[in-house]
Amino acid sequence: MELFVQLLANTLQIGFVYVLFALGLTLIFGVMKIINFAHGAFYTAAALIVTSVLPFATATLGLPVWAGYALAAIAALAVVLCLGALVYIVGFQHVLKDLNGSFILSIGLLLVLNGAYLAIYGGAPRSVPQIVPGTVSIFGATLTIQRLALVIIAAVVTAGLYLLVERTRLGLALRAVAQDQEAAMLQGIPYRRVALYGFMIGAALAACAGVLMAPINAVTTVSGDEFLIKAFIIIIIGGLGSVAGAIVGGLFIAMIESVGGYFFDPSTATLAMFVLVIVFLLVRPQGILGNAE
Amino acid sequence: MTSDTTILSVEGLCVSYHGVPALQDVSLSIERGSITTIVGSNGAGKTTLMKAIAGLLVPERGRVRLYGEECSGLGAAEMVRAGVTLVPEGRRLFPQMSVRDNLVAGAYTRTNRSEIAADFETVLGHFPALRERLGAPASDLSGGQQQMLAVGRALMAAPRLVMLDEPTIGLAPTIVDTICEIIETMSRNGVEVLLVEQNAHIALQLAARAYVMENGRIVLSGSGEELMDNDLVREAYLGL
Ligand SMILES: Nc1ncnc2c1ncn2[C@@H]1O[C@H](COP(=O)(O)OP(=O)(O)OP(=O)(O)O)[C@@H](O)[C@H]1O
Ligand SMILES: [Mg+2]
Repeated sequence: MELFVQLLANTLQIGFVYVLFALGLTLIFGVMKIINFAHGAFYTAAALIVTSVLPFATATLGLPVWAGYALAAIAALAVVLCLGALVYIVGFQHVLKDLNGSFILSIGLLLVLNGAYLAIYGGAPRSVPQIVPGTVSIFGATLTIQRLALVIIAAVVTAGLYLLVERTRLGLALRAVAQDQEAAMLQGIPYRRVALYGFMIGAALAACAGVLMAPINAVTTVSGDEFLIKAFIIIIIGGLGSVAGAIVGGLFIAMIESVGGYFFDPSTATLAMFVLVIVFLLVRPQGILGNAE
Repeated sequence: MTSDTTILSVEGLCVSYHGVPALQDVSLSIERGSITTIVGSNGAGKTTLMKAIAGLLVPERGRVRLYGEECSGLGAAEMVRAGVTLVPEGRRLFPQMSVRDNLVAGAYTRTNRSEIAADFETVLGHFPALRERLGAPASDLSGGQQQMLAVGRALMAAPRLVMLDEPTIGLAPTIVDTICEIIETMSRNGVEVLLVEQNAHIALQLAARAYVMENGRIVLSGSGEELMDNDLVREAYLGL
């Protein structure tokens, strides 16, 4: 039981961060029909900002740690949203539905941003003090409250996004554009504005993941890029453009990683993931919840 | 040509795809209270004309006026707000969305909830078959139900002019009748109708005014009855 809880907690913790990351990527693909290879840069920006705003808020402004973290989170979200709007207006809006153009643009953007982060923050890993102290014991397994809080916040954000997509007018527009852009325009849905909103929501989700992970893992200027490959795997398994698929896929990959990593070793788990991707591409290329076209 | 009763007029419209002309100097007008139809064979340019009116294609030359006001250059979303909706060729429903959400999407430009709810009921009154399938994804519907949903979705925008691009293609005769009835009902309720059909029998019977298109040009026009008696039309489109 203790082992089960421990593995479950691991799965949920890694899983929800994957989910947030993959959701943004899949949402952007859905409305813009492009893959943003620079998506990890939003994550990295948010995490880096937390590592510099938090010490400033606690040391210089004298705020308690939790308040400093909240301030850092707001600053990180604000900066990432501005960055997202900037790269959308300067770049992405000109390559809507253009796979080649968006590939070149987003790879270039990734290099530029990574270079800028390195110039500003340097190459050394940066870390953040513990935000919430203490541990709890659940069925004999010891979990830090900090990790538990991460899981809860990430789950709430995920649920919020799900409701946004399924229950709101903007969500209806996002789904309509993803399914048939021209038909969406014929219903009076302003496609370009909806694409911008989709892109910004995607960027904000990556920023959330970055803010949540900053206190858990050391942050480097390429932290976010590691998630990209995993997110692709998740999207292939869950179904490209599917919100529910990204959630199921993200938790599933995290489970393979934590369970496989425990009973075998991390490299076996990684291998298992790639085998899984190959199997999916052969047997069910549209993913678990994707729709065949 | 433009008068007080003209709802929409198209004047000298030219559209081309990558330099290849698809519409050449097309002019037509839609008069109040009458169904207008365009017949023409494959590739004549009927869909292109409707897309240009709907704001999906940008014309090279010519203009479109709605109630006498120039609306060339408006985007598709603005045309919907101005009261013009298109039921596109191939229906183009949102396949993974429920029937209900497809209808709600049709009312995207509107904000008055009680009016939307009333129109929702009206549409389901026209197409009772949809009521039982409200929760089903649109892709699960039969071809006839999908066409009904496409027309219903267009009506949810509370349009002043509905353009229908081959709404009866591939449907069973009884369903074709249902669609024809609803087109007549729409027209009687004060919605103007522009109908494109390959089935000239249906189109000419319904329409007060008809245009014949060939190779991107209007080659004939007249009342539905006149064209039904026209030798060229009888031979080329009615197979008589
Ligand atoms: N997207 C496009 N790109 C290039 N050419 C096109 C495109 N769409 C249509 N055309 C060409 O424009 C001409 C008019 O096509 P259009 O679809 O408007 O005809 P139509 O009268 O609607 O035919 P149908 O009865 O088959 O629907 C045709 O020659 C067609 O090949
Ligand atoms: Mg056509």
